[in-house]
Amino acid sequence: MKGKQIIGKIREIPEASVIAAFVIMCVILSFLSDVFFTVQNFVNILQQVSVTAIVAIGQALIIITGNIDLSAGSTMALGGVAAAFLAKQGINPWLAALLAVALGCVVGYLIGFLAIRLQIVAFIVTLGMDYILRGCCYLISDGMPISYTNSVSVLGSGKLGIVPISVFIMLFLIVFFQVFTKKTVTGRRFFAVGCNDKSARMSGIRVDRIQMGAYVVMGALAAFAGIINAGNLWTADSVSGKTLALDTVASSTIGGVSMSGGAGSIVGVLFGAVIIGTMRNAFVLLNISAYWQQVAIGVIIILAVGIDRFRAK
Amino acid sequence: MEKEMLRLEHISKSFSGVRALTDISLTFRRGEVHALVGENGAGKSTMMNVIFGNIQPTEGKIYFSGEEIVVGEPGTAQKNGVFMIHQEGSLLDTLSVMENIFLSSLKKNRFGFLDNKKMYQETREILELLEMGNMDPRKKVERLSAPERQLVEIAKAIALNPALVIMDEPTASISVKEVQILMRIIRKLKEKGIGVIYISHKLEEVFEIADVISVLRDGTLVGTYGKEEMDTNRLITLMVGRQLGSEMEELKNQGGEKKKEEVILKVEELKVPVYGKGVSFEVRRGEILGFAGLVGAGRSELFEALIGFRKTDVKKAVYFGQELKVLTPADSIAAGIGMLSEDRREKGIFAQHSVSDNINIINLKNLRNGMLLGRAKENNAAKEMGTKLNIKTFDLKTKIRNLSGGNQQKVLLARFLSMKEIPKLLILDEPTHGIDVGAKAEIYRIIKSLVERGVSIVLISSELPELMLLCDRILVMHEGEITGEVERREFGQELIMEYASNLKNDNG
Repeated sequence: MKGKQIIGKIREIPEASVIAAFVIMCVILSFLSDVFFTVQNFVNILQQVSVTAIVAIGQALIIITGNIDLSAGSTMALGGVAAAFLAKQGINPWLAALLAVALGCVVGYLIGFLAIRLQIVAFIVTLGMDYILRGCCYLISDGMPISYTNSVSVLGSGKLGIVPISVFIMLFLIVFFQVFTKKTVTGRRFFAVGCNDKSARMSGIRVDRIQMGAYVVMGALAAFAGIINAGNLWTADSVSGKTLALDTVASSTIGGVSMSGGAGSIVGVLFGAVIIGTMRNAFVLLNISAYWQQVAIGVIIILAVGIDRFRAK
Repeated sequence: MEKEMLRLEHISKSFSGVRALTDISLTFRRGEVHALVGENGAGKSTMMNVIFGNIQPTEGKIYFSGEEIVVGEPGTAQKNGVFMIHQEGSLLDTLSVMENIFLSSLKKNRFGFLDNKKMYQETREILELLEMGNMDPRKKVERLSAPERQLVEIAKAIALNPALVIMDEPTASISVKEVQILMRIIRKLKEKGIGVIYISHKLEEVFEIADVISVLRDGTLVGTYGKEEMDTNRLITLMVGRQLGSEMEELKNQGGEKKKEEVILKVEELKVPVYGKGVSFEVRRGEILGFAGLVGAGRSELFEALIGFRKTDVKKAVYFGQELKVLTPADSIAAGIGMLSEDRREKGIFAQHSVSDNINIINLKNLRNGMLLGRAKENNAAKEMGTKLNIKTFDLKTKIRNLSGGNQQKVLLARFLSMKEIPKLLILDEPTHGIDVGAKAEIYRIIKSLVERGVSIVLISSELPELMLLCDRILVMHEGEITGEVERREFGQELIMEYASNLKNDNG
């Protein structure tokens, strides 16, 4: 009886299935590899997923409100390139970084304006913006990587003890947005809007502001992630983040965010990103071809959504 | 004389121990309109699912034209000429009327291509029969109005040459005028020897069209009666198992004694969307102001524009002595005006969210401890409203889509009633649409209690008896214009219908 109650309680936790999947993965991989279940390896995984996870927060917010952002990768690249370019011009690197994040906000606002105010389908707007922003990166950098070695780079390459600073930043943002979505009035409204925008309007929610807000937050997070990424590599490259948009959609999906909007959690998204990261890590440790990695990640995405679908019935 | 078409014998069905149907025996005959009434959850839809083989009954037999069939096999009913007309949504928007009608039996010519000519001809004939001769069979369904769609649904069933047609709430989305057309159609079907099972919450229709009436309550058959031996009060009592008729009478007698003078809202020349005509009216404190009219008269559009859900122009709107400036519903709610849409699913509920979340969505700001929402406060607020409005749900974490229509409507009312300062004006658009008699009476009582607290109600309804029961006065609309105003002492169905169909117009 008691055990049943506990299982019942666990099932009420929305992130239960993605966390369970992660635990099972860890158990299996621990048997297959000696190196897998070590602190150092987990730190590595977290560091590798930090950029994806930060951008995935924004993606999840957008998907929760019923939209999508396919330009996240280019916004990320633009953030890095802009910060590096401005710093190279002699502007204080911290101010340059701040300006780059502000640029991200502007990009988000622009997408929001086109997709929400002017009602052009978000899928198309962000697809178009992806090309535009990528082009802007090349225009700014003239197609060459810009070195990024200044005091801001510590965000991407610094460490506190053995843990990279980027991991702390990621965890902080995850907790912050988890609390924001679940425990604030505005956060709740994100879910209401995504569940049914007309009902939300009738309930006095300013749907436009919420949906545009999600894009602005995404712009800021993506640009910031771009700075971390550039700091990590000591260089800002226009080609970075080519698969990021889809990776963040995948992380959100695996983490239990409903593609039709209105449901999901930020902690779930972290686990979604970590599961993908762990897969990549495992394939390296086990010396399996990287091609199989791609296949396996695809299978997981479909499984994640499929299992939730059957559970809902 | 009347030939037996479909017979159920001792049908019972339990779902994991819970009895949904208990020992139902019923006979449906050719050329007979058999009404099936009962509250939501009385077992009507379970019974239909048994007939169509979607549910395997625990016990019992089914006979088509006297021959026993294997129960629980989908497709058998259709093979025997039994077809269901759906409430809504079985039509494909991007296809034409005729393609929809012949969807399951597209006509081919000898080369194997679609025989559009033949389909066009046959569709014309069917539409003619349904008094829709001027509808183009090639018109895309997405361009039809809601009542037209309903008629096309019927056409679709008739095209299949049915022996027995089942209509489940066929008048839910159509107005008085189309109801009359539907009644004539049903009589024609009857003449052709087709049997009809008519499921409806609207008892006047049942009395108008039915030959026999069967009452279901809690999964059992209360009885089958000839129309002559039945009256409304007795029928309601049989349906709900208590004396609801007299409760309704009480409501009626409470209405309209006190004079209501103070004008709280004065609207001048508000352009009704779609029609673009200007409308002016006043709402007084503590009154129930009815808005009557045919479906498509622009009533919903008018008020959706007033609260800022739709774009419009208004010359002037004064609310409690101040100019009312509204861009979105958020502004009107802040000003103390709330509206419940006629379309609960599309513009009301958050289907995938819990009952509790649905109740609290407007009131979230008052459920915080400091910056963050407090779970205990949320639960208590939802619980309080649940008890107050008698919302029947397993628990407040249940998804709202699992609730009956009546309980969903109560949740939507709870949204406004849980506000720290409840709206001074509530606009209720078809608040009892598709809701059973018991829940209807509860909603009427809530409306009455609000009025006693000084709230003004605008009641948009297509059911005249409902308007005449509750309202102090009624404004009637026709194609985006107010054509007349009727005071309580002058209330009469004919007068209102004359205004609604523009046979009589006070504004020219």
